[in-house]
Amino acid sequence: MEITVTERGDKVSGMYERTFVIAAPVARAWQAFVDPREREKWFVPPGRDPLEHPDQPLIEGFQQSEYKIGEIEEHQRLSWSQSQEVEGDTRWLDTTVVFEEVESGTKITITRSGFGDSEAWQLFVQSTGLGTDESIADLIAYMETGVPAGRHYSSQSKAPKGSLGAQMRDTGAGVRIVSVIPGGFAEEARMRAGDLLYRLADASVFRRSDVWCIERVLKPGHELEAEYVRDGRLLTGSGRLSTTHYTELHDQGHSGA
Amino acid sequence: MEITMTERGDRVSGMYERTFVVAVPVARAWQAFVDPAEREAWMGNRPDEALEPGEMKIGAIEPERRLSWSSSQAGLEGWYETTVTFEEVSSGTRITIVRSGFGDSEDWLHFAENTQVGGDELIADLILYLETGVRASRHFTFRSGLGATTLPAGAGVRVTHVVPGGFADGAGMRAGDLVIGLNGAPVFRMPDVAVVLREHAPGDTIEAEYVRSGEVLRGRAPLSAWNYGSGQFLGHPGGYPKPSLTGA
Repeated sequence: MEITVTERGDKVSGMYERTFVIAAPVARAWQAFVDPREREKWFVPPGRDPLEHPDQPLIEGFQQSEYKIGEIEEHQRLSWSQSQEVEGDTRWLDTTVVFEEVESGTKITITRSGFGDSEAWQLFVQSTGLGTDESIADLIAYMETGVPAGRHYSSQSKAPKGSLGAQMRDTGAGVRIVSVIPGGFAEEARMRAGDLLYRLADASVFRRSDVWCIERVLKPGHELEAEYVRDGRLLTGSGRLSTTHYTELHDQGHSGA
Repeated sequence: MEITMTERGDRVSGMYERTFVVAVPVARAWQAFVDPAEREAWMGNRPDEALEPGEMKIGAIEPERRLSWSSSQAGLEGWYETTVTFEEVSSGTRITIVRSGFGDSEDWLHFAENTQVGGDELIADLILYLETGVRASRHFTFRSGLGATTLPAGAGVRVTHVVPGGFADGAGMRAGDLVIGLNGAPVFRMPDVAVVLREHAPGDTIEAEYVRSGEVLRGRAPLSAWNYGSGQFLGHPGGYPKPSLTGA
């Protein structure tokens, strides 16, 4: 597989684009997107029955999203629009999935655009981007091994997971705290907006996916030490992890509640 | 900061390229590379064993513009080239790091993949140091190892060699298996493995979840020790040595 990541870091391009190759024929890859029984093997957002809306495309986001199916060319191209509200700003996001036959299987390109420019939208783009990357890995795992691992969603819906209780974003230097949710872990550990997360327990933190790895194995209430950078100094704080409420993740830009 | 990643996944392009902007003047960014005391500040706590035996030849140097060198490493045939370019931009300095000349062998493939993950972490440490003054030492903080070498795959993390008696062996893994979970957390990317290896000490028993022949298998074993280098250990995070080299 090859993945082309167009951009990462402080500046968000306002577009999500991924290209990858899966070792399966085009007709098979196409089915994984359009057949709800196939789709549920790798993409089942909690609380949504894929069979209830058989034509429902891959909708990221957990609010009551409206959607419109766009242009469809069998085995070639799939597109849809979905409404998404971020902090009072509702926009239509356009997603296109292109299928191309290549020597080693099927090259798929997923493009999503229409995001706003605000800070809240940038967080949304980062969060859904990271989440969609994980769903793509689940798709590839399913197509290439037949195992419906569904790691992205299953890991979050099984039991309540610990949360840092802060909104965060990826930057060049690491993970920056964007806002702290009152009563949560980050507040208890005395973190503030602008701080840069340096370490959680014994693990260095470089990326938001590192934070997800830690949040996913720890339960709410778990006592954790954090180290973070503020004004050129390393500070240490500790607290008890908050609870992640999955339905609120997107409203909060993930790692919320 | 903006990072451009050219390629990732099962196929390695034989090249590592990153472009990023640091919010400091060019002269300051240049110092962070050429002044040993400055360099120490962002790759500081490197353990001795992380210094692979190898050679280095300094190439073309244009002060505050371009720095290049060639390196060789024990266990790898040939040399690879690194070029660092500095450009003044309105928000500071744009740095481009290009590393090329990797060979096609399996050792090179492992080296190239680990260079990507490790290089990205060192860049984050560099940016943190230049922008906040904090002597960052996040990268060289591994504690335990898988007792296996791995490569990134689109579907997860692929096991490429298993060291007899190590964690992977104890958990029942074999070369070719796809790791999809460690210690109860899903594994999608190489850095997900790195989190577990930093979080746990050698000897901690954790569960591995992996796919073989269309089946999900699980096994538990104590984690191995982390191995940084010394020529036989080209395949972080892995706790090389490769089976062919053990006992050699």
